[in-house]
Amino acid sequence: MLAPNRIVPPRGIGVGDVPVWTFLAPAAFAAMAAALLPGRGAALAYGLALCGLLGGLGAAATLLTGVNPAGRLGPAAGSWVAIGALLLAMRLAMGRAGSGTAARAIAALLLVAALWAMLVLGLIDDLGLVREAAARGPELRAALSGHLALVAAALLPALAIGAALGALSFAAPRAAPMTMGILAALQVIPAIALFALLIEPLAALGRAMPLLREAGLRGIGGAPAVIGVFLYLLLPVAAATRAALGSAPAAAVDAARGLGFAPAQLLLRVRLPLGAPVFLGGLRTASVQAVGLVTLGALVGAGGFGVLMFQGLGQFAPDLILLGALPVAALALVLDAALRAVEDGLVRA
Amino acid sequence: MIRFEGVRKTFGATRALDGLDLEVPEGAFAVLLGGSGAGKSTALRTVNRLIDPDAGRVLLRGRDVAQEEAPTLRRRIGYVIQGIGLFPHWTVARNIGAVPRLLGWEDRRIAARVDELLALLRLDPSAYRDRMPAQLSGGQAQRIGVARALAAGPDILLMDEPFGALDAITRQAMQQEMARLHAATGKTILLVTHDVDEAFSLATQLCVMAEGRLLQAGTPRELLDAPADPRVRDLLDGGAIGMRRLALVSAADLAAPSAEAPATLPRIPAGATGREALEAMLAARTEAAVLVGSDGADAGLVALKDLLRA
Repeated sequence: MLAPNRIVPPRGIGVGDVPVWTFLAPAAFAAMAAALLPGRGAALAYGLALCGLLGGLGAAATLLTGVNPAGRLGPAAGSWVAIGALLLAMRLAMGRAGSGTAARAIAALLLVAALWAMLVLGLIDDLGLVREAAARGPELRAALSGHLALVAAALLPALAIGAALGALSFAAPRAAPMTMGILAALQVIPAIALFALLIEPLAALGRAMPLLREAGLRGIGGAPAVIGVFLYLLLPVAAATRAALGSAPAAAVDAARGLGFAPAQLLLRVRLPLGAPVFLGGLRTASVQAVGLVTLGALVGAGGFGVLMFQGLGQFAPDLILLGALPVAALALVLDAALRAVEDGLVRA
Repeated sequence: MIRFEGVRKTFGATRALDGLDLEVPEGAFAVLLGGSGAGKSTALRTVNRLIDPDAGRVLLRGRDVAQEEAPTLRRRIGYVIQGIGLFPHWTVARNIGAVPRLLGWEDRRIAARVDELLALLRLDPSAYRDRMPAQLSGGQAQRIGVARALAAGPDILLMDEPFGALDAITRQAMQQEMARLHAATGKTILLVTHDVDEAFSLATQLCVMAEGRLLQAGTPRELLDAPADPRVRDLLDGGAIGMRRLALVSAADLAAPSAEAPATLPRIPAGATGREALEAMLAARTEAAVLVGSDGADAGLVALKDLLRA
């Protein structure tokens, strides 16, 4: 899709409209060859096809908008489908080859390295998305650090308090339905509504105690987003903690007691190691959820990638929306993969 | 060795133990036998304080178990359960060494003890010590469970339906294994079961329980010959009493010395029980069987009518 600038609606460009066959022909060839290759060879060929496709888009952008810095060329539906299909085909080929977590991580890193190389070589510089990113370098960096800081600020306290609540409801099963019920009820409130509900009390608190206000506790800004996300994360963390503590087989617990394990030894040597994978699963859910929820924090002035997304929505600039959305998705995927790798390592150990 | 004095325990509305009095002498293989709800497991678990009685007391060597911290007490008492309960995240060696580790033994001493116990339970140490519990069959897992219970050298072993989850063949093998271990180690064993055959094949002291009380305790033979209560007779199963009695006597005790035994008579080992002698006669349709010593020579002749003296 081509637009003379990012304001006017774009018009569609066909494959035949731009002579970028130097990229697209090898890409098509690689994709066809991949169908004939076994396992990892196929994955590699699909990866090359993907690079060729992106290179073709980049070349088209240079041809069509090279002289017009305000011009924007972005992938249309067909290109997006092709990109998605190639990624999916790659993943499936890896799966057919029986590749483990490590091999998949290496493949993902290779793909990222290839994209990086294309960027450095200037092959995709003129794509709309890359132009947008280049124009907003400092903003992007601020969004990344802001996003990560908000996630950490919500996740770390949620880990501490959620784990404590989970442990409590494990130790006192009678209190569990109430604790879990309250945490579950919080989940039902839509995120934006929860953030909005927090604004007024926080503002009042700030007015009443100027010291807190100085410390950053205001109705608008990071505070309502962090507190709201924190409240959401309590349920997955508490539920995972409770399930983790209860996941040791009953017979092993009975045997441990009967053999003379003191309560602390039972907890540290039996319950915690056996429950660790369950807990990590909950932590993974909570982390991914945090990355996503923090995006909405932009609506109450919290910063993060949400700012770019909502700006893009307001200006009807698809590249800007993507500039906010793609890093959030990537962040969530990376966190998920990293924690999953730790989980796998634990299970195997 | 183990003495229950008027032990009572209620869980909510159910009375699990209703004044249990029982004395288990040192070195006994005591079997608590009874239907479900008889209070056998509850009684067993008062010994290592997994359950504390509401009233009455349990004495070990004359000392009330309530006087000791539960974890310390338990480390001196072996404990084997139906669910086995190996720690799934630890190797066989680490499982067996669990209690010695709690007691702060040195690593080298633990390793030596682990190998010793694996050998005692007839598992090759080099093949088994590094396996994970998931790689064991049910019978192997329960052998490890027994080894783990014996690791710190307790002089009492508590076993709560230890073979209930095993298949019939493995169960029988484990019963023989326990009889052998008891004979070899001289430990006092308290075992809970609802399996009458298991009780008869293992017990030196058979304790029949019902409704949280002891109905009768004695040798299996005493209980067969003089059941103190109709419920004891019922539990020991009227129809099988004669066969059970035969199973408890040695055929050699009933046999007459015989110089020339006809070659047509069935041969049985000299260590056979009266029941095995009867089975041999019924199988061969004869009225006598010949006992053969370990040297292969005829050691005696047992006739059908001799079995009536059992």
